Amino acid sequence: MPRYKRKLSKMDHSTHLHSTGEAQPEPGQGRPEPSHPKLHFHDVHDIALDLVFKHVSLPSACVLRRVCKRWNDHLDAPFQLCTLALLNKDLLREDLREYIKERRNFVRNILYYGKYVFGQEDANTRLYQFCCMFQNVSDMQRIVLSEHNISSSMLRKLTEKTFPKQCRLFLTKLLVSDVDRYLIPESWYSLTIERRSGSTRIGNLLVEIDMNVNVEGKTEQEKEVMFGRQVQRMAHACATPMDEYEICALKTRLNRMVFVHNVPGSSGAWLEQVLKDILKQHEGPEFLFVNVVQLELGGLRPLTVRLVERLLMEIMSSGVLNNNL
Amino acid sequence: MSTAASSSTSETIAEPGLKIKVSTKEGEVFELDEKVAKMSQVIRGILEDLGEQNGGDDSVLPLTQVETRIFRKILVWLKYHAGHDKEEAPKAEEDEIIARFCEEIPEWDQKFLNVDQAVILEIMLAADYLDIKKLRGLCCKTVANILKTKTVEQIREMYGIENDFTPEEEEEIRKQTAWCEDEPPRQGSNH
Repeated sequence: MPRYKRKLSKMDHSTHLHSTGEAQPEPGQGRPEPSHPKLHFHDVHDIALDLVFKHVSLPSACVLRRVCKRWNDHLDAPFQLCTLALLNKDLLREDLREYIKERRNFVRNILYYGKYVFGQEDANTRLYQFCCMFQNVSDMQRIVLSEHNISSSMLRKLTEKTFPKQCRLFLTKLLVSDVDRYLIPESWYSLTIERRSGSTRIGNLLVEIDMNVNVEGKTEQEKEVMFGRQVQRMAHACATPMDEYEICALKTRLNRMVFVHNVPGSSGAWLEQVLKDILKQHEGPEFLFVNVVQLELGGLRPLTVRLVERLLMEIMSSGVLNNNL
Repeated sequence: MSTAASSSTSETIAEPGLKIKVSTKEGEVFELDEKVAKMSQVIRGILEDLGEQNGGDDSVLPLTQVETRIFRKILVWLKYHAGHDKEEAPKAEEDEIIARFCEEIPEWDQKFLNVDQAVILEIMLAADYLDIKKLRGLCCKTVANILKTKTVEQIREMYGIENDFTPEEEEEIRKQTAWCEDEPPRQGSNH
């Protein structure tokens, strides 16, 4: 028997068709067709049924469980509970949380999307409590958070929980607030009042955050630094190019700094080299030839901008810059 | 190699390049552009096997589980996507989960699948048989979206499904899922 025939014969779905004798209309692509056997949903084999149910979120699955015994068996089976998809508002229900809690040992993947809930202070807490529910599930594989407005401190708390080693946390389409403290010193807070300052928006990227960073023996400050590096990495990956408003604000601020410290503003090979090194480290190769002293900063990302600012400030406060120019 | 073509009508799709012949359940033969044909992982696999065995150009791959009327539809989908889709790397599982629940069905595909539900199911089964994951996923999602907008009674009526629960079983499930009782059907939502 040829190999292709063996391959195809293995794939017989054994569907059971029965004829209703009705001609089916063919909207869109088709022309009128003759009568043909009509496939009914209850005749569809188990694999196909599971394929459909894999696209149903938990609350909808619970409704569908009531249709018949067969659907109930499929929808409450461990493999079907393996991936849970939930909306933020679903977790407002105490009884739903209980329902999930009873079945949590079957769960391997969670997709929790928040629809960017604003103005609900408990949304972050709910998210945190929900994720923590799974920290002792030994086969937990991944948690994906999407469309949330989350604070970096909440994110940090989450990464410090003890999830199984293999469990991975992914973020996508997230607005992470309160990231400034990981980008610049606290004394700089007053200088960072600008649009969207302090928030990092993760677009369609899928960013992985290290879990279980609760390293024993580390001080609170050291842990904060460790998490800060993660935030910087995330911010750098997701930051969008500056717009004209931001560029203008940055130019003004840098010029003011230079003026206050009596530094000649447009010269200094040393300064140029320092800034170029920053660009090289934090931006793509296309920015290497930017004339940074002339402040052609159109393509810089906000994170780099803050690094530039911080470095300038540190240099100026230490007096190094004046000595080198 | 099969010669199902001998007793059937042949439909030629005029496209340059290597042609692949496949025959449907009824024995009708279709000649596909290689790129279009290889969107089916099953056909791709068979062609690779045949390549190893020096299979002849006149080979006709028998797709014995796919009816002609369904294959015609699938062909429309394959040709459109062969021309419009970029070559995609296989998705990581987390990407696949996000796509399953968060991505909208593209407009063209929505129109393509705007057919009788029985036909969608048949396309889904054929896509599964031919291992065309994207089409299979779109069909599943479309059916799932329809289910999500219906009540239990509507679903039973729509599909002629009998309520085979005993009153005790029904009560037990109702208790377990009581929290979703006041959930309205989610019209047009992917979630």
